[in-house]
Amino acid sequence: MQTLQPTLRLGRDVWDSASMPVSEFRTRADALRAEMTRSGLDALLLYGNGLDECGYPAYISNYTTKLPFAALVILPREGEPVLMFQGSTRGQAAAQATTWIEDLRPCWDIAETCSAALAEKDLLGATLGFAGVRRLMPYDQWQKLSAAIVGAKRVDAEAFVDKLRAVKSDREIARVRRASRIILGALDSLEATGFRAANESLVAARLIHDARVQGAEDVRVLIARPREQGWSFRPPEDFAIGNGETVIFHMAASWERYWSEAVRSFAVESESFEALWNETQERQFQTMISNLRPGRSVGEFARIAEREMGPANAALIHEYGIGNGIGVTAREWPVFSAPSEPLPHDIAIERGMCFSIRLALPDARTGFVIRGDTVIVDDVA
Amino acid sequence: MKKLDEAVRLMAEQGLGGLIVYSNGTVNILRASYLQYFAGFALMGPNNAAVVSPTGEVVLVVEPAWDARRAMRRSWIGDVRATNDFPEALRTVIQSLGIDGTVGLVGGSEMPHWVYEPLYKQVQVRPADDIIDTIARTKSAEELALARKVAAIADIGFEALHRFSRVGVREYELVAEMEYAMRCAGADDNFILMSSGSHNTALRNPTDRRLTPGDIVIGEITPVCQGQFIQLCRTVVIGEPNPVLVEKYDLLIRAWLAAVGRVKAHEPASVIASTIDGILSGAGYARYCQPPYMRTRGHGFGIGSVAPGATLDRETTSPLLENQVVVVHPNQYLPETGYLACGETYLVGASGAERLSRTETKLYVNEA
Repeated sequence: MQTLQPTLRLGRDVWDSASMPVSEFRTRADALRAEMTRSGLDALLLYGNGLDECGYPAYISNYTTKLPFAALVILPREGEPVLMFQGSTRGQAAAQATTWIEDLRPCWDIAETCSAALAEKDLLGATLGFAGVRRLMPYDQWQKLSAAIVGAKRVDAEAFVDKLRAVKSDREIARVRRASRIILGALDSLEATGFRAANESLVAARLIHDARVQGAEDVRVLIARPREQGWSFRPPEDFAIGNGETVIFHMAASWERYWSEAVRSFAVESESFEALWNETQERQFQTMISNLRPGRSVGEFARIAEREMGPANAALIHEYGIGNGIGVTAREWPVFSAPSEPLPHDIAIERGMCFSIRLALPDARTGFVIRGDTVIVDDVA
Repeated sequence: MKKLDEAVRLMAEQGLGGLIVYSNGTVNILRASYLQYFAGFALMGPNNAAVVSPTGEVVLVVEPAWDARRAMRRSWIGDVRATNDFPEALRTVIQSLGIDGTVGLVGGSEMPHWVYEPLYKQVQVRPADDIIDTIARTKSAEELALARKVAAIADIGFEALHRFSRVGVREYELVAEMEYAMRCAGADDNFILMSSGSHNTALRNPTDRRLTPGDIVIGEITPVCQGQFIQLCRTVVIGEPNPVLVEKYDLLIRAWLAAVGRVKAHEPASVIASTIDGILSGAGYARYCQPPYMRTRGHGFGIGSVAPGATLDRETTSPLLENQVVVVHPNQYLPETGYLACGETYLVGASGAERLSRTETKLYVNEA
């Protein structure tokens, strides 16, 4: 779900190469190269920028942007990859500690550095696959890069990169699970905590702190208060939270690059948060996500989920979408449903996919509850 | 609305048929947040813009559509258009406002090619960051009050750095406590870089490392509130510091004090770097007055303008102007001590610099 991006991803920044070894990235590079061969590509350019759209270079390099800057990996079909990132030379050592790619080039002008690296490798006139380049690169950078590769054949390669990213390895799934434990621990701890004169910002500060001390590298919090007229999810503000209210928290966090998201609904009583969730709702929720299994399509799951929620509850979720893939970014392919877009019936659910799912269910006390969880298809299957 | 009136005046002065103030939803410590400044709140989605006509009509286009309700509540701009198809919404708004001719684009360096391409086909586009930059150079009383408030939050962030720089604490736990302290004090975002060890090489993100006796802990403490950054750079040593560290930190303090003494309106901003570099060079560190041993001697902070610049070095040509918010930091790698952090944020005054935070500038020592 869209959240407010921080100015810096300021949490724990570690590459544990024992549990996420270089061989994992070599395997990804091999899989990408196999697709490149099928598509006739000489090199693949994986570009990302900002704190929400850095997935392509992070997937292959493990390097993630911590500031709203850009990174790009050139993965040649033969030869070693090059990672370039916007930043000063003093950041090189810290960056090198988080990636297996040895050819690391800090720079301020990605287009210029990319052009130079392509020239070195004699790839300016080659067939180049793009992932993230056309969709994310600022226009002035794109124009500069375009001019440099005017002799190249350009191929959109996002589809096969997205597909490879979507099915996670056991190591990736372990990281998603760890991120899930972090956010669920923080959200669960709200129930155990009394809040005198609670306000949204202070509760969010507490959630963020709980996640950070567990090692979260990035943490996002949104709040929704159904009592507000025309309510929607939004960043927390300095508004008091009073007894008798319903408050819904969306929380997302990443651990060693991998994200998890959850949504929990609470009733506020006697200056404490009481989770709105009962066994019947749990059963309903589990029944619904049991449809998230190999053999079904993404669109099929969305249609079943909407039917099970009923029109009124489905309408509460519709504008945020029922769900999407989650991994090195909090929102990635495939997206289950988006406003004004047809359901993706042609995308098959596969073992190893990870999804962030959001559902609204009826509740006797408050009319409805919204529940969100990160679901791993292996678990469901 | 003064910002709108000024924008319209500057558009007319530059012969522009319209103005687009764009944001991709990111906040960058080194750049102004033009749309946040203009619209009065932080935009969340990947594409957002305020579109201004030459007659002063203004529309705010917000993506994703569900964030428009927040925009309607938070912004002074009354006409908010919710969209999940930004290029099409932008095209429609430009058309409905009757905008043609050359249109100024503010924040264009953030605009992706696929958004720019249809815009470029519809109207002639010219970069116009200078329009918001010009408006934002005169800070309102509210902005000055905000800067002082954020400076007080930075003091609280330093207290946490000082309190939690203890043997056994992991770097990321230390940052978590600093962030929590500043959020509880009113920060809505934070920029914190740090490092620990006996010989640091640069400020960076925290790792798993546990603090040990003899560590030098350096921190760049930068709370943010409504887009306003304020920075404190501090060094804490765990255990009795060796005399060389004390001597070298004193050198940085001398450089910092000398530079601050030169900060006043109408001085060239380069005076900060030249003063610091002069003192360090005099002490034999001329070759260290360049990257990777340091990044910059300071920079401006502001919501709509980071004047006098995102990097203050000896070549910076712009002058210091009254009410600019400027950090002066001789943060420096020295071969004997490693990287040290030392610096403060100031408000530029007619006759000198007003210190914004209260924390004393010195080498802090914690028990081992």
